[in-house]
Amino acid sequence: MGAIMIELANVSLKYNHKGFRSALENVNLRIDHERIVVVGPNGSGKTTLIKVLLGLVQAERGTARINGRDVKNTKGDLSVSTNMAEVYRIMGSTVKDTLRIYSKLKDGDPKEVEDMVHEFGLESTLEKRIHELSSGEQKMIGNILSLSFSPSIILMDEPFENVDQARRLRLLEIVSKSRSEIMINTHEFDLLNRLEGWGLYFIIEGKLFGKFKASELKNLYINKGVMPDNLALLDTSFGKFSITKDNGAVPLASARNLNSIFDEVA
Amino acid sequence: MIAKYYLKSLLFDKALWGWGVGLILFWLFMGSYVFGFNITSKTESLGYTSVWFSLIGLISGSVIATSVAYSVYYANSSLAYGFRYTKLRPSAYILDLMISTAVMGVIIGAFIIVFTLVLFSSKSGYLLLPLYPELSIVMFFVTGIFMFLLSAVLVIFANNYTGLKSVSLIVLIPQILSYLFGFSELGVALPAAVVYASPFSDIPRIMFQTYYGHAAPLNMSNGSGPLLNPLIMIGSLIFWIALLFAMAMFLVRRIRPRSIEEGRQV
Repeated sequence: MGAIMIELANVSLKYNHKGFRSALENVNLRIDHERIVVVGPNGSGKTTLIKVLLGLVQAERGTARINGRDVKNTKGDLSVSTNMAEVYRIMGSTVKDTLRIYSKLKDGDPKEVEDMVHEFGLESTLEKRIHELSSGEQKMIGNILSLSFSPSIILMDEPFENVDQARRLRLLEIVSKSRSEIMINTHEFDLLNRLEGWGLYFIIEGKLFGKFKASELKNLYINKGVMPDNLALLDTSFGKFSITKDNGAVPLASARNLNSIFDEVA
Repeated sequence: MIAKYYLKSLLFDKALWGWGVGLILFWLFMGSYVFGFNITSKTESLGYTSVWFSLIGLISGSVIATSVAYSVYYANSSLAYGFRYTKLRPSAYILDLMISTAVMGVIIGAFIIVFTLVLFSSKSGYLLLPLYPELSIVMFFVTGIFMFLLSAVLVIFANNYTGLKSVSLIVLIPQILSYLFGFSELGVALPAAVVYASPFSDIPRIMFQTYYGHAAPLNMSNGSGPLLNPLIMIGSLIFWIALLFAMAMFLVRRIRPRSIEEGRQV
């Protein structure tokens, strides 16, 4: 049997910001040959989760492994990619050169990534430097790089944020058809119904809850307090909330994002 | 692997051209037309010109180094990701940037030779051609290597082990040292041991020799004191380059991903 592709074991860490709770608190996650989406409000630890897996943030406790190897000791593993813009700032090059640099560094064909740029109608960005792009364009270039060169694991942080509707639908289509193992972080709910067969986790104040099925979102409800038949109990600093199936106070599917639904149910 | 892209990004770096070539022109103009140039013989004129040439050669290397240092700093997350999840190796990164910076040093060096020749010749009325321009070019290459390694060591050390507030000052250290050593030597005679040991003294004296054609004196301000042995200065420079290369390799392998946004806020 091969190694587990993504594994977080008892991962905890805190940021040294005033009033900030744990960024991640005792997170355990095993993903093997499946695709998951992690949903949480802003500041809940979604991005930190991916950064731990990429080795951009070091856990204070616990271990993060990809393909069975502790990410602290990983070198030259071409099977992993991400859409995080900060990892593509290796130099102040144009987008075109950045795509070519990462084609070389990922042992890929630059045509593959350039074709995708054309497919998303982003040709006008090619001669610009990354920092000159709008946040939506930067996000799309990161998305395109993450999906190129046949990675087996793709870690996508808020891939739909600041992306226009036509591009996000096309992106969703490509992501859905991809054969890679994908982990998507988002605070948006509206596209989750389309992720048939994907696992769903919630992350709130650094604590991970799940797993659910993304396709079941339409049947999930959130309730204030502890409900006897809850599937998960979200214990937060602003109260306890229960997730129930088929009936409850507020249907999760009615919300556009998790930020608003806590206000609604409270 | 990435050298040509890095060189391209330097070639199109407007700030570098503005500060690099702009500053060079300014100082060469000051040296030729504003500061005293009351020398009557061609030999004395060539000596005076060579002192300014050597000083500007040193400063130009440090100006490129500042630009490169920012680039290395902004790439911290990209490097942490790149070493784990791409083919990029720490040694390849250091070598590629080192070569690109050195080539950029040669390009700007060629401008310095031309500007020096034109400005000082027009002011003095003599044709003040450099005696060994090909060796001047080699020295610009070597200066680029030294300044890159010094900047890389300083900025990666600051990134890995100090608060981000210090980075904006640390990237200026090569320039500060260049101005300090370069201009102080126009008025103060340093002991021979200090001159031999300091790369900031070795570089301008070797550059002086490539323009003037004879060994540099200990006292650059009035040409007095014993003539210095260029082989010892070259040996000293090679020692510094080897030391800094080893330090850069040690530090870049331990690159710590830092938030650039956090750095801007502090």
